[in-house]
Amino acid sequence: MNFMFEFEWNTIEMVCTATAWAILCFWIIHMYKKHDPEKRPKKRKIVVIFLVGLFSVSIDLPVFGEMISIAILPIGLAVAYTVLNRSRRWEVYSRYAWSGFAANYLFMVTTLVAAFLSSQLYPEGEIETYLDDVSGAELITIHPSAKESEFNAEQFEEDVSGFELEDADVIGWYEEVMEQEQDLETNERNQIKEKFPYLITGIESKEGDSVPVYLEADGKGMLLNTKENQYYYRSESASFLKEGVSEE
Amino acid sequence: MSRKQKGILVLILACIIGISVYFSQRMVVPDDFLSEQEILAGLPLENLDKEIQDIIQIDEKTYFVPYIADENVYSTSIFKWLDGKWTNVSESTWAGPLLLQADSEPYVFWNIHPGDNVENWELYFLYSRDYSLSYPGSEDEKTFYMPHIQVSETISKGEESYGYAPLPVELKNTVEAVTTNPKSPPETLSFSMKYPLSWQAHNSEGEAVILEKTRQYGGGGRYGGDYVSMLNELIEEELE
Repeated sequence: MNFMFEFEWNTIEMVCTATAWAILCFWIIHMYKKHDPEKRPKKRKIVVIFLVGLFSVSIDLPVFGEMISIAILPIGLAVAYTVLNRSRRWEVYSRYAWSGFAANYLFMVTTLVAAFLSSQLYPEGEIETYLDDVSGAELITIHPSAKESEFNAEQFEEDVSGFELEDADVIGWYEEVMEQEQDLETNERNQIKEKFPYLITGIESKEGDSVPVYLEADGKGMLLNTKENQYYYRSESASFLKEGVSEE
Repeated sequence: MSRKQKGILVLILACIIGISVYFSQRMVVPDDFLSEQEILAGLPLENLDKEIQDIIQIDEKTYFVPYIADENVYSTSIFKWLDGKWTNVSESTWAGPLLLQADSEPYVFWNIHPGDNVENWELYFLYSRDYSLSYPGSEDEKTFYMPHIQVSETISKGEESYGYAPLPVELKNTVEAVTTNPKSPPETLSFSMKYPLSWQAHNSEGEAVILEKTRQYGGGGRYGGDYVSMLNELIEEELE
C-alpha cells in the first residue's frame, strides 16, 4: 500500500475544502427552497448546471506563498446561457449557473484561509514548528571528527526553546573545510573537522513530518531539514551535548 | 426480476468470483520452492557446469541461490515470487556484497571466491560535503549545507563463501533520516539510490583486500527491477 505514504494529508486544507463544499450545498439548497416550486428545475439538472457554471478560465497568481487561482472568464456560464437562452429556459437556471461561477471565488478564499491558518498553526522559522515532538530523539555520530559525547535527551527538550534562527553561511562553512584540506597532506585527511558531525533522528514537526537535524560540533547549533527548506538555529546556552562518556 | 435479468446477474457474479480467485491464487505464495533442476534451467551461462551451493529462504517471497559455475566462478541469483511464479530477478558473478530490497527489510548478500580470504565487510554510508545557494540576496533566498557523512558498520562474512545479513540498523536509520528531507532537494543534494552505500573487504588482520580471485574470470550481472542493486566499492580517497 505504497500510496498511503506518498499521498500527503494536509489536514488544514482538507477541513477548509470540506467547509467550502458544505457552505455551497447549504446555499444551493436554500436557493432551491426559495425557488417557486412550479418553476424550479429538477434536482439533478441543478447539479449539472452548477458544475457547468463552475467551469471557467482562471489565472494562477502567487499570494502569500500560495498559488491562488482567480477565475476571470466564465466559460461554463457563457455556454449554459447560449444553450438555454435559445429555448428560453435561462431564467430558471441562471441563479444555479451563477452560483457555480461564484464557487470559484469561494474556493479561492478557502485557499487563502487555509494558508493563513497554517501560517498561524505552523509559523515558519519558529523552532517549535519543526521540533515539536522530540521524545524519540536519538544522536548518531556521522563524522569521525566528532568527539565521544553523551546526549541528554531530557536536557535537549528543555534547551529547544532557547534556539534562535540565524543566517546560514553555507559558503563560509564549506570553504572553511576546503582550507583545512589544503593545509593537509593526502594521508592526513582523517584530521578534517566537520562543522556538523552529529545527526539527531526521531524528531517530528507539528505537521507530523520527520525532521533530520544536523548538530554542530559544539552542541549549540542545529541545521534542520524540512520538506522545502533548511534552517540554522543557535543557542549559546544549550547544554544537552556533554563531551566524554559518563562514568555510570 | 425477469429471467434474463437473473441470468445477467449470475453471470456478473461468476465473473467477479472468477477474477478474485485468479488474483488471490497469484498472490498466495506456495510453501515449496523450485527444484534444483528448475533452478538450473533458469540460470544463465547454459553451457557451463553449475553447482548449486545452497538454497536460502530470505523471506516468504524471496530466495537466495548461491552457485558455482565452471568450478571457479562464484555466483549469486535471487528469485522472487512475481506474477504467480518464481522469477529470477538478479544474477551476478563477480560482485562484492549486493543490496537486496526484500519485502520488509533491506539485506546484503554475497558469494565470493574463498581464495580472497575475506573475513568481514565494512559497509559505508558516504556523502561528500556539499552546499547550494539559490536566489542569493532575494526574499526567496534558500541555502543548504550538507555535512560530510561517513558512517560505517561491519558485517562478518562467515565460514561459507556465500552469505547474507540484514542491513545494520544504525546504517539503515542514518540513510533513511538523511534521505528523508528535503523532499525536492537542490540537484546537488539528491541521492541516486535508496541506499547509497559502498563497501570494503577486510581479511582477518583487518587489512583491506581486493576481490582478486573472485574477479579473475571477469563476469557481470543483472540487477533488474526494484529488488537488487549494486553497491560501490569504497574509494578510499573519499574518506576523511
